[in-house]
Amino acid sequence: MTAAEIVFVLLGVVALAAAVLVVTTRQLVRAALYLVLSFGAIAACFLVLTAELVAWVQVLIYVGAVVVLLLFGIMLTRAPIGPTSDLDSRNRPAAIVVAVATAGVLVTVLVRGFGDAYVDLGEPSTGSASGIGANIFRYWVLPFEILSVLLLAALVGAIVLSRTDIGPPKDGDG
Amino acid sequence: MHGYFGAYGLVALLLVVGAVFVTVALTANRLLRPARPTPQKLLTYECGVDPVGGGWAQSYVRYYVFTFLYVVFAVDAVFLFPWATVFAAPGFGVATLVEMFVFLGFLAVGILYAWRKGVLSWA
Amino acid sequence: MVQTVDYLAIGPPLILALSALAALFLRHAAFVGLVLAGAGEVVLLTGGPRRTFCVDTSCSFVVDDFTLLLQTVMLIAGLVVLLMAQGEIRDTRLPAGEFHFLILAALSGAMTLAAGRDLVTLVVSLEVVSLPVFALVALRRYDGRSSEAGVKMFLVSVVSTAVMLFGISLVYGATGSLFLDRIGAVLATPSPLESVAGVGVVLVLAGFGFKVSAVPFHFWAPDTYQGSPVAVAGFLSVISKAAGFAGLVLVLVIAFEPFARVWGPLVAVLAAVSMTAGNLVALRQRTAIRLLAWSSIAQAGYMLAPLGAAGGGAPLDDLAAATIGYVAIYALMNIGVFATISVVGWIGRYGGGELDDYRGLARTHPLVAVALAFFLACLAGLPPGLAGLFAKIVVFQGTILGGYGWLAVIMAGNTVIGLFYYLAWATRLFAPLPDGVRFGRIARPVGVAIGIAAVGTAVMSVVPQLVLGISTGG
Repeated sequence: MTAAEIVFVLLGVVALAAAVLVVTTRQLVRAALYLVLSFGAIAACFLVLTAELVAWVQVLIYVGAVVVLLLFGIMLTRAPIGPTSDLDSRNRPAAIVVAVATAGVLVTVLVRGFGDAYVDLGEPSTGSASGIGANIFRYWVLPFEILSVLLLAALVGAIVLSRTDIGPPKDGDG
Repeated sequence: MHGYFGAYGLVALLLVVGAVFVTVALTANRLLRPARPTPQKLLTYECGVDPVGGGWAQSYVRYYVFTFLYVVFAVDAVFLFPWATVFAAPGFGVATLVEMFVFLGFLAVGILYAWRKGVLSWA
Repeated sequence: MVQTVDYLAIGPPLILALSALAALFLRHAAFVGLVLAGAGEVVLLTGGPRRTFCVDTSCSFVVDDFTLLLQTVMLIAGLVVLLMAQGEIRDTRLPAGEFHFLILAALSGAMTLAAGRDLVTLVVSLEVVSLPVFALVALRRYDGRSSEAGVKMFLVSVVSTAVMLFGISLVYGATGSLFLDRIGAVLATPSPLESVAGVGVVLVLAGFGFKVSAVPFHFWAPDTYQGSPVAVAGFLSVISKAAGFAGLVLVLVIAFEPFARVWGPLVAVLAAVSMTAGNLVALRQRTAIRLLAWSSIAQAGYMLAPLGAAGGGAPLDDLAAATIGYVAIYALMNIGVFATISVVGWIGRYGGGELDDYRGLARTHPLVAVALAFFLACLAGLPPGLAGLFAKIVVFQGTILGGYGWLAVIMAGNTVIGLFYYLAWATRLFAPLPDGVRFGRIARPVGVAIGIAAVGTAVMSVVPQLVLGISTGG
């Protein structure tokens, strides 16, 4: 094993352990913070794979923006700090079975398919900002432009749902 | 220390050094300081006034919109980085410039809308 | 080096996206945009196939017969949705600008999806179809049921997208390409990564199963339809579903064709379970909107059936043509039903009211009642609803062509069940008017909407060959 592989495996263990803690912890805010750890470890995995831009996108969008959004989402509710017992539902055994079965199938298939596939991480040019930029603006302009409509729709949708001036019809059911 | 892994190895090393520094400083602090807690000292510090109520306050939905704006424009920024490295490269030119400004134009309409609806004001 | 863009080809969705922006601020921009996009569509209909955003020979955006048929149907259905929404926007005080914007944005996503020929474009445009609809469903934010409907749909849709994306990553890992035609070419040759690609195909199929609300991925549909404005429920049931089927057909027929033996039987089971469960539950419904929700689940089963017969080795192109033909005809007749039930309006807890609220509609609004009866006859596949009958025949043909007799038998049984509840509703229209009941005046836009849907369905009854037998290309 090379140094990069050892680091990758260690990061993978951190990501997995943090992910398990996210779903098992009884404190909502801690779940969000464990999620930060999991996302961070995954970002570091991307770095080891020389997917530089993706790694920093992971940090900027997921560790940064999405977790902030999650924490604000928790703060919007009246959820208390501290342990909450109703975070676990009675479906817990079923969920475990489904999760383990899904993971089993996927891991088996991936290991059987790519188990002996090795990628030469030599020159990290495709994963850099300029490599991805060249790909987007040469081959994937259409999805990129559609994405602007998607982001705008998300923005307008979020704003319209948070507007407080949309009231019920005055004269009963219209 | 050069090359891709060398550069990031340096970053990792710096992270480790930082973590060790904080740990050593705090541990030394704990070992050297006197510890005489009283109930007053253990109270949450709130600008010198006795704390009132719990530590949890439900926030307004309007703050959520600001967070959401942040997410949308973070995604926007993510595309600006790769664009900035290539748009001046040979073979891209005006078309790529225009494509990015179409993208930004669509999002700018979102800001315009938010401003028109008064979402951006603190009143 | 950068891709050349054929602006005529991307015209209709582009115009819709721009008019969506304008609709946020200007009152009539939505209808102007729809008319302009329709004009662009007519120009495209008179010309030959167009391809743009190409890399070598593979293109991201293709306008061929398949695309044109779906785009035209989506445009008509979108116009009907916007027209029928006018009364509801006023009555339940929805914000008009935002409503128009969200509908047009989703519609432009649906139109792009019908033309997309690579997995990235398909996924991003599928999201453009779904995301505005979350907000639309939850738009009556003073109503808890509306928010519940929005959350339910959001969770299911996001999970399905995640599943689909994982499947796509497996397919990409196994084939090294995102263009549908290249994936098809790679999968056709034997490789040690076949099992990876196979799991990827199944996951993508599951993701689309959610989008077209096929059993067992259907449970969000009834509550979501019930909680959302009637026009939005119509959008979900027609345009979202047509978009889901467009993506499904493109992916299965062009990219996953060599794996037809893997996905064919799965789709056949989905089809059989969807139509049976949908029809049996629809029998027991008392309200118009929930009946339509379950009936649209059952109809999704009919649409899947020809694709399910793909495992039998019949020409895939013919089977896909049967599915797409049914989708097109279903879109017109079903949007007609939604337009008519918006007349009855928001009675009690339900948009569209209970089935018994339709008693005597023929006495006061004979034209609307006749139109509704005609749409219901079409959905049941009974004369005079010839459009629905032709669609059913084509679907049966496809299923038998593929050698799936058992599926055809299940479908026949289901058609009979369907007759019961569609006709039970239709006969109520012509019952005597109960005492003290009066129906309100019909707003002009809603009347126009019903007229457009009725004319469209009538045309399909006379010249169904316009939409049946369209080639998916390759």
